[in-house]
Amino acid sequence: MLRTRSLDTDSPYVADESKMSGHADALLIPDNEDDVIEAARESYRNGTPLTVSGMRTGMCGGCVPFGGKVLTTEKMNRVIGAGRDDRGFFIRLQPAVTVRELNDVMRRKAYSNLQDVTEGATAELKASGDYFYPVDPTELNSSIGGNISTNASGPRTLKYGPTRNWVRRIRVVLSDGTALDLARGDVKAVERTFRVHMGDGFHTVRLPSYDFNMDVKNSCGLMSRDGMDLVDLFIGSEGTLGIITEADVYVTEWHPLMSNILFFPCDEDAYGFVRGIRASSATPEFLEFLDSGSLNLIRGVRSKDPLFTSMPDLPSYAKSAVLLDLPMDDTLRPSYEAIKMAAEAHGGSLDRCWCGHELKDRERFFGMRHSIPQTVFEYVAGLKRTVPKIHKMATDMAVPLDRSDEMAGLYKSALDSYGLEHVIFGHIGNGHLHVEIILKDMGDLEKAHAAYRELAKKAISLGGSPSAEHGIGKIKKEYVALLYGQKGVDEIRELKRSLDPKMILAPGNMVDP
Amino acid sequence: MSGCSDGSCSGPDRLPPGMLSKYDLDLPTADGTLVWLEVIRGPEPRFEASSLEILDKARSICEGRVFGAVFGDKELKPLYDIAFSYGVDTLYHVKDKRLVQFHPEAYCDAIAELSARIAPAAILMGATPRGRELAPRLAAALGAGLTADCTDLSADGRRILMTRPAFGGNLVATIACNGFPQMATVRPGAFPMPRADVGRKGTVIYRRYLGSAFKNIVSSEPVEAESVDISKAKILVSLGNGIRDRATVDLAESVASKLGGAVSCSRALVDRGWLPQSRQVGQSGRIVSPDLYLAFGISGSVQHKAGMSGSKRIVAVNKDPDAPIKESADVFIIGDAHSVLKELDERLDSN
Amino acid sequence: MKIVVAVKQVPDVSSVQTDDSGNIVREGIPSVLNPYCEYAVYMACRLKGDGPVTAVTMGPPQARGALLRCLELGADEAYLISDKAFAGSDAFATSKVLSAFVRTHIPGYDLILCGKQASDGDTAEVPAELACMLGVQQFCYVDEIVAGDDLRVLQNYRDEKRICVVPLRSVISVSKGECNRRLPSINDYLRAADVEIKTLDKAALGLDEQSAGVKGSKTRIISSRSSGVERSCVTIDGTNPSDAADVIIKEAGM
Repeated sequence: MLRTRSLDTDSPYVADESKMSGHADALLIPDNEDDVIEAARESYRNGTPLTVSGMRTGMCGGCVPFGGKVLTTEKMNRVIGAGRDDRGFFIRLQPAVTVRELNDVMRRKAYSNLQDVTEGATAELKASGDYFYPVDPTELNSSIGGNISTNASGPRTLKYGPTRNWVRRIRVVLSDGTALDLARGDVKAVERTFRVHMGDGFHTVRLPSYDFNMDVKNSCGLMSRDGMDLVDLFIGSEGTLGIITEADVYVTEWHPLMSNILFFPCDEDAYGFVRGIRASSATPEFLEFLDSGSLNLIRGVRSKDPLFTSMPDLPSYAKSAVLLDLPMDDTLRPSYEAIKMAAEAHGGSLDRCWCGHELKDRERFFGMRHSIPQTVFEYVAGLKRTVPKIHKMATDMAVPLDRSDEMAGLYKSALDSYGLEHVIFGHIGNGHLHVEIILKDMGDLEKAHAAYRELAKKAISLGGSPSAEHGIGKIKKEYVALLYGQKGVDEIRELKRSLDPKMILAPGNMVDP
Repeated sequence: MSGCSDGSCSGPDRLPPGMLSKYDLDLPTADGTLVWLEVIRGPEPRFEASSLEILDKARSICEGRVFGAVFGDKELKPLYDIAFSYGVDTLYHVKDKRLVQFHPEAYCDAIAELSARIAPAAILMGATPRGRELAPRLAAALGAGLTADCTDLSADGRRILMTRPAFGGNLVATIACNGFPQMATVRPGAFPMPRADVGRKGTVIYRRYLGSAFKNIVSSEPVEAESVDISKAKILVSLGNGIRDRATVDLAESVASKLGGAVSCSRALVDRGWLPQSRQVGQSGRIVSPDLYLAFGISGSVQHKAGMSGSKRIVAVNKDPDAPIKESADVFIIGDAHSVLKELDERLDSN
Repeated sequence: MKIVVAVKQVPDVSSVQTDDSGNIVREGIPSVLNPYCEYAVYMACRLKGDGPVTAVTMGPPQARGALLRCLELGADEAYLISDKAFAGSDAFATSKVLSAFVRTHIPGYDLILCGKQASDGDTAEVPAELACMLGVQQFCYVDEIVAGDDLRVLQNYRDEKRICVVPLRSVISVSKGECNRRLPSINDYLRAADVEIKTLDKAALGLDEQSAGVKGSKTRIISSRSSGVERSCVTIDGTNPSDAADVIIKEAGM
């Protein structure tokens, strides 16, 4: 029985972490796939928009509705079972299971209530070493369903790639209520065309003519490649093509890690250190950068709240920092040798750093990294009381590695020329730095939009993506046109129309309806 | 060593602290209970409440006499009758000016000597900071089993079953000692304060301490007792890590005073220096049992739950719908702690 | 100063959770160095001068992790006392093993430091029992240690703060846990990883089956049960503070 609730304008179900908020007539709370099908059929019949919402941790308003109904997957939060195929173990789950919950199940080996998707898999998994889900979208409370819909990635993408690489199978409900069960390898495009069977017969789905950039981290637009897998079309489609009701995701063997943070005298030294590491034999699982502004942001909050980030006090000489994880095995010492050389060449050293290998410490490192966007988020949330229309502005542009330093310089000069206060941090190992702007008023917001447009163009001209991992949602639609031209936008819209003829699913995401 | 004023004990008079002769008190004849009566020093010394709370329990579960041991000088005289009225039959007063101060080694030696004389079935003391320091030293000296911080005691013949919370209060373990004397420290407030039987008589026996196990105490300052005792409040407004704004603490104080309660907190706020340690609820803080425990922004770590699980009603306010405190609450409100406190503050004004 | 720090590895209580029936979930809970012990190591390393600081723990083989942490924080050497015969030791038996260790391996020590209590057992008995068995003075609830012409400690008994002069060879138990625990540098780690953690069994300490473990303990656990008080766990949406205030005011009987 599909449950429905009315929604207030200040309901959390009409907003996400971008602090953009919308409105909807009702909230649908399905318990299972049948409920989702019922919801889709009903919306299809009446032509009412249906926006799917997971844990609402997105940063581009993808789950924010503007009219129609919101469907929350939150009650579909069960880890169903485990299986094993040629590639290895996978976990079958409902879409609202969060990354944290999934990893908790494996850390605790709580497999006893799980079904065997393949014979004996749960027992085998229990008897094996520790496993984990390696895509780390930083926000561990994000749902796997949301991760798949946005092809989420994060710091560990450096080693493990984005969500796409870990999805084995999905079940997805299309706009008319048709449910598809798609395993990777089941349906391949013929050149750029799929044929999908829906309630009223076969629909021809034509992929856009652009080539989706897979050389950098990229979540801008729908994936499009010759002969691609149908599963990959749904991954990263931001709820515009269907609603994911179940997924199989691969997991991988956990291995001990050492987390490290090295401090440097200035931003440029940190960039230099990263170049040194890349050229060396060290094999970090991720490389994250914090600029002087980020470190000062942490210092500022800590002066009021010593428990913030729960780390020791940042040393006063630290003006920038690089975080990196290393496998704790035979490669650790050689890696440290390489790190020593690279650090000492740039004003750092193996004394001017912290490291930690116990889970407790590694969580603290993680928390410290996450504290930057979180602090800006809380700042914007506070600002919203006086400036209601403000929302968070974070860049999410990736460029090829050899252009990374160039891009970092461009960030600084562009934002300084607009007079915008900002911090730079993020996935430097993937050529993917985030810029968070500390907005003060609506004037700043306008300037920020202009600066972003400028920077997005530059990122594209350097061979990069204007939206590497956050996706497009409703906030960054202009980037789709920037990257693919109006033709690309139209092709995406036509593709959507072929699977969602009434344009009811997550309207306004990625392209205007 | 305690003095042999009555000539009944022998042995060297001066031994370094802790170097006691081997006691073997594991006797089938062991009988009665010995309680160390802790004295709160000051112009008018008084007994620490937990010491008196134990006496009544000792009478009710153990056969035989109840022996008391006190340390200090003549200022303790007014306390004799109080000790008798709460159940002491025989009070050993180790009379020495120097022992007004707490010297755990000397106290230990003296009580060990007493035990050798009395051969009690049990030795009990309050689980106050001093009790929890003295008891293990004494247990080691006597080769006795010791259970720390018990919340209940019961007897099975001469065997005492000692109950204490374990693993952060999630488990309750019942522990027994393998021999005699059986030792336990008892959590303050675990037993109700008994009614005094005024006029009840007992015997005082003076002992001298001839040992030399004194500490070199350079200075000692009493710490002003905090005016707020959270373990006695009927309503607690308790704050946790989710409180991000210092102003919320003032708001909570205001709400607490309007409710006739007090403000307590989890460890995070003590670490931040926002509230004194005396307000901390939890395993490393105070154990509380108010009628109503209002937890604002407290996620509910195992240690914290250990301190509050005895509350009659627990209402938790937390932004995180999955905060672990949910399972321990009667009512779990998903909401922002600060806004709810603000609302309460205004509403209680108009009431 | 030659300082011995007796430490314990404990489950990381901050990540301990309970299941639906209120029982502790032990599986997959990481172990850490007890926070009070960590502070004791920190204090020892500040005091040590020429050193060395020796960390010692009794525990299963995985307790090495706690010793590695001690070394990272600046301890110079580490001993793991591990023997199946020691399993199930209570505070008395543990103290006995530790005192045997000190007598046989670090007889010329100057000071012993411990944490006030372990965050799992919470008995706070070992420091005083160890002091008694070694025949030395004990200083509990120590907030600060100051080394000058002599060694002084600040003890905090909640209703009294006092300063004592500490004779050498005493046992000090520290009652502070740091609010944000320290992190080693990579060089600290590399140095620690090079130190061999020595393992000792009962024979190395001159002990037998009877003197520790279950047989050497003076207490035994008769039973244990979940303390879970049944709570109704009614969940209320308090997005609107006024709804939340209604409920609370009613609960408070105002």
